Amino acid sequence: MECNTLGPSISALYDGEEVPVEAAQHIASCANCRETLREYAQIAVELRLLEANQLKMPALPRITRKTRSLVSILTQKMRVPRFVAAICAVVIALLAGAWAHTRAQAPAEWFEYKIDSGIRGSGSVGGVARACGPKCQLQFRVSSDPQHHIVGMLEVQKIEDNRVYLALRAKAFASIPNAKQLADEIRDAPAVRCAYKPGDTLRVPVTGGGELQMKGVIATSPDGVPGWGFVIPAEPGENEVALREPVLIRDDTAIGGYRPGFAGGTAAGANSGFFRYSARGGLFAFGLKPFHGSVQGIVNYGQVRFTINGTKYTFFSGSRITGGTQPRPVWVLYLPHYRLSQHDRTKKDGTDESGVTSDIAAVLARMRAIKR
Amino acid sequence: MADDKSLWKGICAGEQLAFEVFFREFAPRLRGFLHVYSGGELEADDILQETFLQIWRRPSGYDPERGTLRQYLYGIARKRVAQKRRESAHMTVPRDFDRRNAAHLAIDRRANGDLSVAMREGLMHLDSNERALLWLRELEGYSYAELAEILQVPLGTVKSRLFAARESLRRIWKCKPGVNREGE
Repeated sequence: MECNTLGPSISALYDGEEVPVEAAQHIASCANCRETLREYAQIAVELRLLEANQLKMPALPRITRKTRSLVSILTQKMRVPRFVAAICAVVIALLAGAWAHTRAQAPAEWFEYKIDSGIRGSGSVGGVARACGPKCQLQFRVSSDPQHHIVGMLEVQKIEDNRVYLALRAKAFASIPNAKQLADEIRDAPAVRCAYKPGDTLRVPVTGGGELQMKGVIATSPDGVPGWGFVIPAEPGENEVALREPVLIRDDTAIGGYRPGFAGGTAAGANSGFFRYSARGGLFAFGLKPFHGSVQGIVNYGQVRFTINGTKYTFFSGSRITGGTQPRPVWVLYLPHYRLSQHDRTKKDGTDESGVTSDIAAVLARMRAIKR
Repeated sequence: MADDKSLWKGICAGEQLAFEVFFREFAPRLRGFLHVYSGGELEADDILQETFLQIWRRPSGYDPERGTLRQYLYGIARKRVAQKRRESAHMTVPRDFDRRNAAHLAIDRRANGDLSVAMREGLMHLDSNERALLWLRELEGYSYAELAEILQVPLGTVKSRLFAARESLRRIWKCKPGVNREGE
């Protein structure tokens, strides 16, 4: 057996692979072939040294979950054949389309309204009513002075064909009775029932004297959640003032809990204003003209700044606070120690905090006494 | 060290940690192989990144029944190198010239005692498939059957190419500068 024909076998033997017995016997006894084996081993050592010299950790590729497609995830992670994933995708798309169609066809559920008494300076109340009949009756109060409260109840039965089927009733009180008696008395008041056309003004006689005016719109936001654009104007007029989702900053501290609010009026009419109360911050009343006890603040689009007893206050609003040329003055009255729970007798009766109380009515009375 | 199955499951589930473990486990050695196989450091780094990204994006390509994760990884890397070569075929400098030149350099380096550089140049003197085979056999310890699977060549070809590679390097190793230069 010749050494020069055994090269592949020497290599295979070196690698621990099987070789013919004759070849193995020759290599075992041949000095040349053993020298070749030794040289192969030396080459292997040099290769390992070379690898050790150049071994280094490369940079990790930049991977994100986004680099994997939905199809990839469906077909690979879940081991689903691609055609099954495609069928599932089509089914999902059809179901989504059907759901969207159903949503589009579904009757609107929400009615956004604003009610005022027609009495100058009494302000207005507004809200969002759900179309769910007697179980969702909404009680509201509009006051013009401490001796004249109008309490009403709104019930939206259904919303269909751009009509709001509702019942509205209201009664005047010289003083507010307890909650149960109040509810009973309002329920006994005659109701106006109608298919209201959004945008119209609905006039409702008040038992005991007076009239309420209601305007409203059907909430048509794409997700079905009503907005507040009707109650709080996105662009208040020159003689309107509004706070949308207000946040109060006192020095460097944010104080929350102030409900959105709106007041309207005209320069030629009553000197209207409105108030915002928070248990943590106290009560603020805003007017567009000076009134007793008020200080001047400066409105600049979505914020109003004022200083009371050396403390700086800033209210931020989600939209313009008032119209006209900016910046412009407003007047603010601050009652830091006012506590609704202590002063509002209606609160003790279990009613909500949004009502106009006699104390606040007194504040409003101060506002009406604006220095001309 | 995590086993293949748990690593692969993690990668399939899109777990970045699993991928990172997998990368740290295999990347340095794969880079060494690619450096030798592709013949260039930059090319090796590119292909390495592409190889790992391909596994991250399409992990279902691996079938545990057909071999180890490392085998699969090297198989992808080899295919990537082949693809790069096809794409840049029109730009490639004639390999014969490179290889002959590399042999001269290897002999000179070895004579100067610069053994690691000599081995590198000697490897460049080999055909790329021979380089890949020798590297995978000597440094990764693959059996002939595994090499045939990774490189998609018959078992006999593995045997003959390994022998050819070793013989070429052995000749360079034994050659003295200025004499018996191959190809001249």
